[in-house]
Amino acid sequence: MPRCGATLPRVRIPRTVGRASHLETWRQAAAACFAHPLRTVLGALAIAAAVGTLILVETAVDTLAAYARESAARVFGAETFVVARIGSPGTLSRRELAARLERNRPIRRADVRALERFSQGRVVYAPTAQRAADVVAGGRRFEGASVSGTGAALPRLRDLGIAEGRFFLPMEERSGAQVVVIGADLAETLFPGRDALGASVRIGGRGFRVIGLQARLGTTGGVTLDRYAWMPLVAWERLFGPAETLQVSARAPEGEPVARAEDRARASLRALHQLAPGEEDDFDIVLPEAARSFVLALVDRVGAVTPILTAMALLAAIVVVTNTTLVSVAQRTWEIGVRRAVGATRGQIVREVLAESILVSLAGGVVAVVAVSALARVVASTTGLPVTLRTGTVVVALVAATLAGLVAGGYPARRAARVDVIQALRQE
Amino acid sequence: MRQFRALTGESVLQALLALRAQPLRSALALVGVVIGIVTVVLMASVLSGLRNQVALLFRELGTENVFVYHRSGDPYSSPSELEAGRRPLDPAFGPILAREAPSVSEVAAQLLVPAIAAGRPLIARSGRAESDTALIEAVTSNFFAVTGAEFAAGRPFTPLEERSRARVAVLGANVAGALFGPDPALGKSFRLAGDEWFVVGVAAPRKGGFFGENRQDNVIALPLATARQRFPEADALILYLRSEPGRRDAARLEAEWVLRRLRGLGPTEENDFNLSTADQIIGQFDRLAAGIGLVTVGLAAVSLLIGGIGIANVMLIGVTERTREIGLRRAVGARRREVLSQFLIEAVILSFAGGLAGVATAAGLGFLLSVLLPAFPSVPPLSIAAAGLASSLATGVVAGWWPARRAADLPPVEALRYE
Repeated sequence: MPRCGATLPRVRIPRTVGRASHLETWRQAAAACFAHPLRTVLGALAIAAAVGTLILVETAVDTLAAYARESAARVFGAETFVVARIGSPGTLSRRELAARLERNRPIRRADVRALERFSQGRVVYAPTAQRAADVVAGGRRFEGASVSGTGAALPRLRDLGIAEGRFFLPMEERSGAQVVVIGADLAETLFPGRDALGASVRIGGRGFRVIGLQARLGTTGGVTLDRYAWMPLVAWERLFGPAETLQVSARAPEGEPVARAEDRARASLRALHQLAPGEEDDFDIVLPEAARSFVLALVDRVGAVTPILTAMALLAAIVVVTNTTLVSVAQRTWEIGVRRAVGATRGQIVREVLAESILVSLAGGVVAVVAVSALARVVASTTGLPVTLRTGTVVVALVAATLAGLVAGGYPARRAARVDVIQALRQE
Repeated sequence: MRQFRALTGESVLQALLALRAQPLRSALALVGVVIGIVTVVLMASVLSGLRNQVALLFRELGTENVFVYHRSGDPYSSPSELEAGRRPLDPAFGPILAREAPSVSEVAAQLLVPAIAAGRPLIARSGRAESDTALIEAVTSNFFAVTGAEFAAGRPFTPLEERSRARVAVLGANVAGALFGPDPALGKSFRLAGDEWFVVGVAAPRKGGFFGENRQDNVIALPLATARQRFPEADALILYLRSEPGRRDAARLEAEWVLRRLRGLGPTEENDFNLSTADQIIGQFDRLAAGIGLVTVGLAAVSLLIGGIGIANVMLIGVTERTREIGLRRAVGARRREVLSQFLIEAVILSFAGGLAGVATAAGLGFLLSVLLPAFPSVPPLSIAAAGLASSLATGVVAGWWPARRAADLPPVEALRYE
């Protein structure tokens, strides 16, 4: 007679008996979760917290980047590019900068005229030169205004917000008329309580007539937009002498891609400078440098650390789910024993345990996505920031949640598989 | 009182036994808290260490000094639109300030030479190496004394060298290494801007910095008079006013008064220069960094929150499993309060143990990090370690409260009936 406790002889059970379909696996897992709702909720909450931070950080970074782009677009226009002697001096090393300075020629008014001629109206150009100077009107003085000499086409490239009057005309640009458009701070300081339109101001000892007033534009990316005085470039050069080099803002007309306009500008300037086909450009064409605000630089630095923090949070959440799943397995030991006895394979048990942990984690992931998107909407409506929750981020979050569930369920699943059937059946 | 103590002692014992009964579960919950505490403590320590390095950098320039520049903000960055038009300071202001401001004992000057002169980059060349990242500055001979610079070799310039416009230089620690390698730089010469300069001193590496980088280590210091003649377009002058001990604030006010007179400012006009002290700069930095610090520590705290959830979870499971036990205890006379405190103590012990383990791990990791990456000082200061322990305690209380309440609120008869 076989001794008590001896193992049963191995009987080959055809695989079809007791084999659960995939749907059955998930249904069983769901049942297990709902049987102990409190545990499930806490496990899901832990994963939700971890995945939520991941989404939150990504969204915050995306939002700040979008905000910076929007601010730059507000100032410079979305399809604007800049032709300059040196495009982004901040990014060059000392040696590169010196080499560029030596190779690149300064951009002069003659270059701009040639660019306009070659473009045949397809590209809009506005050269700019700028200097800080005092503006005086009737006993009052505005110190350190940004006096800019530019072309009549500038309002088409930048949103200048002309509230009253007008910008100067091409005719006035050519003749260098002594006219000026002033910003809100200048108007308020020099003509308090009066309408500044038509009044005259003195800059650098010369008289200018105010023909236009800007609306209050505020500050974008750290640059105050209300301290400008715009005048024709010829008039500017009469005041300050010829500019050493001009920054030429350019814009592709509506509907045309920026790249084509850039190519046209590049070809024109190369032809003008008589560069052979193989020679490098002796100028730079860049997109206007989005004001690299302090915030963005900060974000870069913080962004280096956040993956570690989110990883730690995810690890802690995985530990919680593992714990929960272990308890669940321990409590269903008898059930597992019965199912194994009637033919369920180890693999099925493993799959079921994994399904349970994945379900919990995925639920947490979904909760996180919903919560963060609701938060995003609230923030967007109250602060007006361009809060962007990218689909890519959501996908990454859900994948992370699923993988977390997989990892969390690994050890409990192995334990469940190794359950000794007889011992399990003996438990109540 | 004795009763209370006996009761608490008993509770602690019970708690330990209960935790030991389910070792795996308790261990995992503890691990969750450990992860949380390690993250928070390590992050806070790194931030605190980096901040102290920056503070050290500025304090090294002299806590009793007042710095004067014609613009506000970092002299090495580009000016704001508003201040772009300001006139630079005149080196002649130095002796005048020393003379007319009684709280100022002496004045040193530092002229920043732009890296590109007349279209050519400034590159220092020794016989076999060159450096295009060295920063060129022109200083008065007393600059090194006023800023407390220590010398690894050699000496600062003498006033005679300054007067005779000698071509001598003092190298920062990094530049000396870059130009002359392991060989001593003292007495050697290098070429800069077409001239030959002799090294009379090598500065010791400066303490403090941003992520281990201190600007002053990359500086080639030339005598002010010589450099002004050689680089006439350099105009960014910083004055360092050393005040009499303890009279820094008075020195600052006096300097402001003298400078306003020197710059010809009317009574209603604002300063067209900027005065600051090391404390001020550190304060500004702290204000800027506080925000990031808070956000980063907040993110780290999420891990601790999750650890707390883990504790709550384990407690809840325990309450459910021991429902009959709770019913029995209430039936034989235990009060609600005692059951509550029982479970609460369990939770607190668990999380406090996690806190201790976490702080110890963070200390170990921090020490390792500081050894491997000297730029990241991350040994937890005592205050942060204590805060870590306190937060682990708080986590235990908060996480254990609700499960303990549930346990205490169980109706005894129902509990006894529980299967």
